[in-house]
Amino acid sequence: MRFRSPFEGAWADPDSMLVVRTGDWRLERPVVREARCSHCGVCWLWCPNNCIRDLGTHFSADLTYCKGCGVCARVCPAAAIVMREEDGA
Amino acid sequence: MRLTASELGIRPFSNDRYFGGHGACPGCGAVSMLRQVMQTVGPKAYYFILASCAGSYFPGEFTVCDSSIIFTVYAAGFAEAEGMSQALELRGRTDETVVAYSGDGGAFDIGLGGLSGIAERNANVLVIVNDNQGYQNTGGQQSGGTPRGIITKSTQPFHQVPAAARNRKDLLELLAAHRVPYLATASAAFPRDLDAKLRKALTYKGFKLVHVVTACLNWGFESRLAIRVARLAVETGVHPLYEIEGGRRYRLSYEPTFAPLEDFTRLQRRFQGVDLALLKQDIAERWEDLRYKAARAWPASARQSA
Repeated sequence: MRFRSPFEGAWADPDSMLVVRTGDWRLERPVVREARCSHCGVCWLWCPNNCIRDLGTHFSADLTYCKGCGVCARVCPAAAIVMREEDGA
Repeated sequence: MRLTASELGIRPFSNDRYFGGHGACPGCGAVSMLRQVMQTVGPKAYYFILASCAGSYFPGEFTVCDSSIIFTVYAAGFAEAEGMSQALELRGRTDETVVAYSGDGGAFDIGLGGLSGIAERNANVLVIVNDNQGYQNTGGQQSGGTPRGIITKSTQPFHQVPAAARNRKDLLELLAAHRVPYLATASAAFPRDLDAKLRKALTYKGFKLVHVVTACLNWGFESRLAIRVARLAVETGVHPLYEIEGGRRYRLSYEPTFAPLEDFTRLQRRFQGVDLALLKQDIAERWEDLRYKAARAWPASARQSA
C-alpha cells in the first residue's frame, strides 16, 4: 500500500494512518476453500472493506481489516468462501 | 451471477484507491459503491464529502483513500465543489476531477438549494448521490428520498398524514428541469453499468450527477445480503437504471426482470406493515412515464442542447 497520487495531500504515506484495526469487530471469519476458488475477483469487487487480497491463485481476506460482514461469501459464484464463527483465537 | 471482475478489465487487483480500516458498518453497500467510483474516477480527484455516513469513512485523524478528501457541511458543500472546479480551471489543471459526494439528505433536502445552484451555473462537478433512503447516519429519520408508507423515527403518525398523501422526491426529474448535460441512475450491484456511466459522465464538461441507491443496514437486513438487496432494488423496478442527456433525452440502460416486489421487501424490516399496493402503483407509473420519455424522438439539433 503506497500513496499513489502525485498530487498534494495531507500525508505522504497512508500506511501509518491506517490505525483502526476493524478486524476486532468481527464475529464471523471468511475462510476461502482454495480448491474451489476460480480467481474471478467478485469478492474483491464488492468487499466493502477492501480486505480481499490477491494471492496469485486464489483470494484471501486480510483479517486485520475484515469486519466479517459475509458479503464475499454471499456473492461468490463458486461458493468458495464459508463463514466460520470466531472462537476467540 | 455471470459477471466477473476480470470481464470488467480491472486486473491487477492490487490497484486500489480505497483501503480497509474505515469506520463504516460491516456490509455497508455505500462503501462498495464508493470503492467502485474511486476506481473509475482515478487518483486525480478532489472529493467534497457532504455531511453523511461518509464522515465515518474519513474520520479526520487518518485516511483510507489516496485522493484528496474535503469533509464539509450540507449547505455549503456543493458551492465549495464549484469553487474548487473554478480554481482548477483558472490554473489550467483540467485533468483533475472535482467530485461532490452527498447522501440523500444532502442532495434531496438540506443541500438542494446548493445543488440547484451549481446545476443552474453548470459547474464542472461530478455529483455522486448515495441514496440510502433516509438519514441513516443519525438512526434512520425520514428524508425526501424515503419511499411512501415506511415508518421512520421521524415519520408523522398515519392518522395525521396518510401514506398516499406523501410523495417521494424524484431528484433526476428536478435536475432534468435544469437542462444539465448528464444525469444518470446506477447501482453498486451493477458495476459494469456504474463504470460505463461514470466514464461517460466524465466526458462532459459541466454538471453531471449519478444517483445510486445503496443498501443500508438500517433497512433491517442481514449484512451479507447488502449486494443482493441492491440488486433486487433494480430487478423489482424500484430503482430504474436510466440516463438523461441535456435534460431531455432519456435512455433506459437496463431492462429489469420485474421480480415481485415482495422479494425485495421481505428481506427488510422497514417494510413491515407497509401498503405494498401503493408502492407497486408508484413503480408502475414511474416506469410508464420513463418508457414514454425514452421513446420520444428528438431532432438532431436538440441533442446538443445542454
